[in-house]
Amino acid sequence: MSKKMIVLKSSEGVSFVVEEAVARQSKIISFLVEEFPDRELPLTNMTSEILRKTIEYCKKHVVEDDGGGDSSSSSSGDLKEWDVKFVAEIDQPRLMDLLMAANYLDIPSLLDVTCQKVADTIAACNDEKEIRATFNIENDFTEEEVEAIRMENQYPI
Amino acid sequence: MADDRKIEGALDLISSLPDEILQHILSFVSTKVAIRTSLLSRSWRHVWCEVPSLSLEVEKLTTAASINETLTRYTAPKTKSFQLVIKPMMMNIPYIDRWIKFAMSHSLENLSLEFPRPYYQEYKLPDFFYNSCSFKQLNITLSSYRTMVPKCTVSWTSLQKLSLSCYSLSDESMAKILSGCPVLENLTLSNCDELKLIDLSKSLRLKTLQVNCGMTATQIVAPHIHFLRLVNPQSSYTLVDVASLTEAELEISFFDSHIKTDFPQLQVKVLEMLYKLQNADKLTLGSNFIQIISLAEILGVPFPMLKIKSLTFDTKTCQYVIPGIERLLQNSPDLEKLTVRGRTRFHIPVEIPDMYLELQGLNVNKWSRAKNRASWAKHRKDAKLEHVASLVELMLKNTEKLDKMVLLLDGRYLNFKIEDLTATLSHHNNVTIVLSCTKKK
Repeated sequence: MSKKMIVLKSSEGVSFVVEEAVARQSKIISFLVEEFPDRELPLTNMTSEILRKTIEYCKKHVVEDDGGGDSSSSSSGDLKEWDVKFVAEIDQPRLMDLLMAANYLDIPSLLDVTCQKVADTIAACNDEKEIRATFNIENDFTEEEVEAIRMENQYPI
Repeated sequence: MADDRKIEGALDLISSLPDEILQHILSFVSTKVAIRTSLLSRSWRHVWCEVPSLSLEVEKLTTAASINETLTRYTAPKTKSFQLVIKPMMMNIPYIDRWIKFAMSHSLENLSLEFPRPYYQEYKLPDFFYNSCSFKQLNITLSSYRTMVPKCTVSWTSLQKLSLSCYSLSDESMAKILSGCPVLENLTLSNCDELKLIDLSKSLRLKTLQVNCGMTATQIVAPHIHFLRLVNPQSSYTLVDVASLTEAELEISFFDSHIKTDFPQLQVKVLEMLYKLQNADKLTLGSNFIQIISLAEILGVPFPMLKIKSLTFDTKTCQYVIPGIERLLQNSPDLEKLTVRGRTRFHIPVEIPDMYLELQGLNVNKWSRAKNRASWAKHRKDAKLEHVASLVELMLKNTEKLDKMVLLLDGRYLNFKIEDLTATLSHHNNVTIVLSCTKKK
């Protein structure tokens, strides 16, 4: 039996043919597929590159219904390992795009994986200066304001 | 005022994310780090206050006092998860109950309480802690006596996942806790050394049980569970009732002090467990478990038939796992998938089974020769190509319905190139053989 396919279109107009079960991990696509069956779904705010990445993630995480899929803890461990590698290879601007794509398409597990990567990056910084440098955040506080915030927090930060 | 290291022209992508997403990101870091972000810029000033998760670590009395002050500025309407780690030893930290109450008043779903060191002895978890309809996951680690003794009735009506590591938990307290968790699905017990009975017969929804306890003989009555994992337990478990079990991961521990008495006992245990697993279709066995089976096989003990479809040997290979592997395969006629995770280290030193067999007037090499088996290196550091290839041959010969074999090998332990093995195995068309090897030294 052939699997049902759907077509997703990126902002550049590139079409991606995807198994419906794979794409349905996005709650938004799941909703759209039911509302507009047999139609191309335009994702105008996603580049081909990010859409390709998102599909790659969904393909890996699709749960097979035929009962042949592994549900044991060891294979979920392997999947976690895969997730870590998957986000490790992505640079910061693309990670942010992927995070926003996961948020927009409503794919909770991909949102968690990308947020976790950003969180780990923040936690690895020794102080707020390092976080600013890592994410190019402009400091719009005066020295005095920074000191005041620091004083307000007795819990050592 | 810009930071020196700010890259000219590089964009600040993170600050433009919506607050809810930033708060989701910050729910993965400790509260200490979340508060640190309030120093980044004006737009970050109050983001941390509504992070739906708190993770606090108390190191001394001063941090305890400052936590109260921090909580006054925390304004999230809902605290999905709360983690509290109390580090000082033997010290009575005030306010702990107040923090738990604070978190519980925010529709708390996941609570993690960790007292990694022996804590103030008089402390007991408060009565209100045992009564919550919002808890979904609880993770309690206690290393003091009698901290968790529910005097009142327990009522955790939404609790699905419970993980307890408290070495003084009594059978009575455990029974009380279980009676208050009607929808519990997943239970993990670690270091609960005083438990003699784990009775889950009334936990109808409980499907997954993981136990890593020690030092006592514990009976497991769990007629409804589907998955059981015994992680290197130091005690002897008796599986009284595991009638619904479909998947199990088993390992036993071993002390080398009493060769004469331990091995016969372990052998009885292992066989008892195998008889209880007759309806399971997925099984993972550790190296100690397999070696005990091997010894029983060499001694000619009869084994039950199994209905296993997927079997995993979590062990490197050596002469003392071969007879057990062969017996298990011969007794699993329905086997479809076989995995060897050849990366797990051994616990039983090779001299001990040697000595045990010698006491019975037996010898593993004689047994191998009598059965025409390739002889294995005594010390498991170097597996040669013919060893692994002969293991694969042996496994293929003893399985009829097999369609997939996975070999995960440890490169540091092999004396040959993995490509040579692939070449040797290429003629088996009926079975898909997947080989994966970690880097060689």
